[in-house]
Amino acid sequence: MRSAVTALLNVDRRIIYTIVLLCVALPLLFPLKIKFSPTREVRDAYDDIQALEPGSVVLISCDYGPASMPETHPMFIALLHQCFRLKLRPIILTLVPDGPGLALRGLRSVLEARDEQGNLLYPDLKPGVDYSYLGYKPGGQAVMLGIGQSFTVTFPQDYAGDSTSQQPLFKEVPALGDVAYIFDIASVGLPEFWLPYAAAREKKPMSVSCTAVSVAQYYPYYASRQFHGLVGGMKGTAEYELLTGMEQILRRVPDATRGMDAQSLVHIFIVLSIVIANVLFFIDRRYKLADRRTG
Amino acid sequence: MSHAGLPIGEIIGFWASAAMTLIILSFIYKDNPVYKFGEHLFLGTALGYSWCICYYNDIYPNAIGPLFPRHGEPRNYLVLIPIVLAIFIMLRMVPSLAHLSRMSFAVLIGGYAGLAVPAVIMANFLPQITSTMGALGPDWATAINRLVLLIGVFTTLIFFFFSLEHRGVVGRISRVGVLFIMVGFGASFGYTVMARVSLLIGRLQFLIQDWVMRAILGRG
Amino acid sequence: MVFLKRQLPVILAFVAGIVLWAQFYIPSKASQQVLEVFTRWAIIMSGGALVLGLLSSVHYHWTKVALRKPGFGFSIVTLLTFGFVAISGWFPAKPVSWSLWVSLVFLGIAALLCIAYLVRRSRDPSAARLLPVAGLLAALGLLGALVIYPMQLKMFTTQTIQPGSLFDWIFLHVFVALDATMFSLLAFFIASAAFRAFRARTPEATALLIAGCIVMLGRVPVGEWLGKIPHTQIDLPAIASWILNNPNAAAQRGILLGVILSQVAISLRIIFGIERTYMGGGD
Repeated sequence: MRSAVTALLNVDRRIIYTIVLLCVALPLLFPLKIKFSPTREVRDAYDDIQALEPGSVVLISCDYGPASMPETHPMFIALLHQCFRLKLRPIILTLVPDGPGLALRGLRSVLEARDEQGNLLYPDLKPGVDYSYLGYKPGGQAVMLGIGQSFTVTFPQDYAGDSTSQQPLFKEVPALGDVAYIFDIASVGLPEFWLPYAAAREKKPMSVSCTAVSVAQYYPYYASRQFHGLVGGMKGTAEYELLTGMEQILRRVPDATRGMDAQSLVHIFIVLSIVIANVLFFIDRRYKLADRRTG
Repeated sequence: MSHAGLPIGEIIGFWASAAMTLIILSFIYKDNPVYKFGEHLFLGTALGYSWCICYYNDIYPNAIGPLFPRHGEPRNYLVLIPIVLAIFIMLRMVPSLAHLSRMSFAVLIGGYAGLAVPAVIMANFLPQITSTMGALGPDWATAINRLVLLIGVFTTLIFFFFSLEHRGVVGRISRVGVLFIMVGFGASFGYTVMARVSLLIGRLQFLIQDWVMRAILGRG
Repeated sequence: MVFLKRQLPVILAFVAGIVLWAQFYIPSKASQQVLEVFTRWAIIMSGGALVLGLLSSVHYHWTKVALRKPGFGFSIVTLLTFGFVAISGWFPAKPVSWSLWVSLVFLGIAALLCIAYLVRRSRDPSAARLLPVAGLLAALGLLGALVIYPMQLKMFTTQTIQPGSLFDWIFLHVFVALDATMFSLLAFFIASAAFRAFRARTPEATALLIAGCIVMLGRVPVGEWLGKIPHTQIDLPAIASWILNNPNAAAQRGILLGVILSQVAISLRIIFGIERTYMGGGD
């Protein structure tokens, strides 16, 4: 018994890696389709966007890169579908250098989305009128303060190289104070800068979608209603996909939702391994105490 | 076009991505030269990518473009000042001229420090205090929750107050604070596990769905 | 010289800090213009800081290759990849103008001269004469590629990432794959650490582990699937939600308040010249 306990406590880490790999791969091949429902934090963000008037401008900041793509990129796509369906006008920018490529791909995938008959879901959308993609600028707070004064001065051209000062969207919405909502999709600590330098300064409501690593530390802001909604991690993104009906739009299971079964299995494995390891640890400790007493 | 309607460039791309993924995943067996090659390839790609993005999104439109404007647009010579300051920052690489970068950093860091003081007090500090000290609430459940929040914030702050020795009453209060902090860290740990696993799920989704199903088997 | 190295930066930090702090309270057009000027300058200077980071990395690997340090072969991979990706960014999905070809020829000759110098320098001291020529050609090449070519494109930015371009292909199939996989390795390590290292040795550690396990199960679909606690309406997601919105929010708020106060303190120290670590080391 004692040797079994010691052997289990010192199990080769590659066995653990293999079990993790199987817990992720098997549900992707054989989905379990475990149901889930949206949490209050995600529903608050969704309801805020739903309540906006058609034609309202939403600032979406895609502050994420490839390293956090599974958690944040599907959220951006779901949010864009919601915005275009509600006839909102998103202004999209990014404050991280590895963001522009992903944001452009996400935008294109939504603009080119088609229904079952092959018709564009959102026809007649014009850049500079119905939406604008501004691309990347370094400087973090400087960019937030800059767009608080003027979009066109901070971003003289949009991502395609067209002058923003000539675009009707920016003639109507010259600065951040004229947008209706701010939504930050972030993998780094930028929501904590968007709040004082943009949302609070211009008195605009704001919601955040972030990686699971950061979400626990943003609960104080959610509790004080400074963040109206909080979409955390892949689960939060899956809940947002559920609320926006992404499965019907894409005609397949959306990416974040598809990963939920694997997430569940791995979490069960990790919780079980913590419990088992602690039980074995206490058994081993009793053996060691007994050895010390017998000398 | 070939193979399930995918262009050749896309198929080669899926194979390249799969190769990159497997090269990096080889590290979980053990550190090896193939992984090191992938690591340095990533570094070089990131450097080249960052250079292009920075140049085309910032340096050219904001710095060089105003000096060489398009037809009809005015030339702006004032932009020479921040260009010079930016060059000073880059001169940090030259030991004899590195001291010039101090001026640029002083303007940047000093400016951000000045902006931060009123901004974080007005937008972060005061709202957090107001939210903590609010009324207990209309019903028992809300009242208990707000009480927990109030006690948690207070005891956590006492724990981090090191000017007083943590003995006696202060020691007991700070132990309660430690419990709250541990619960907070536990929640962070739980979410961190979720984050890390999500990234692995994303990669395996690519390997299974894009590489194996589409590029190899030619399905969907 | 001492004034330039020590006192002028402190004065500049003080002036910039006080002006931008005061700007917050003065609602005039002049005050707004001050903020606008600072933000435009900061964006350009941030670009310079980013380039400094790139130059520093390139310099580190270049030195490693030049001095033949262990592992310099991998540094060659880094430098070649950097050059290739940087050059591919000049080739958007549109036709390329003559200025880029000429620039690339100049840069190519400069690169060849540098390689010739590296190969011959140990045998022939006069090989150093190649360097000024290489430098001049590189400068002309960079001027053409970075200034003249974008002007000919008739736009300042970003025809770089267009679907169909080589740069976009490298971004999607190399950069994204490598970046995403690098971080996905952590899933294995966290699972291994959970089994081998997380022990409930003290009451505090036990509280941490219990909270962690509840959040791990409560924030995934299986938490709902496990159902409610018998004779109650409470399930794991509800408990996890309560933990996150109450004790976790309380602790995080306490930490946040401390961070904000120290942020203000450090900002004041920078403005008043007490904190000078941002200047870096040296005299």
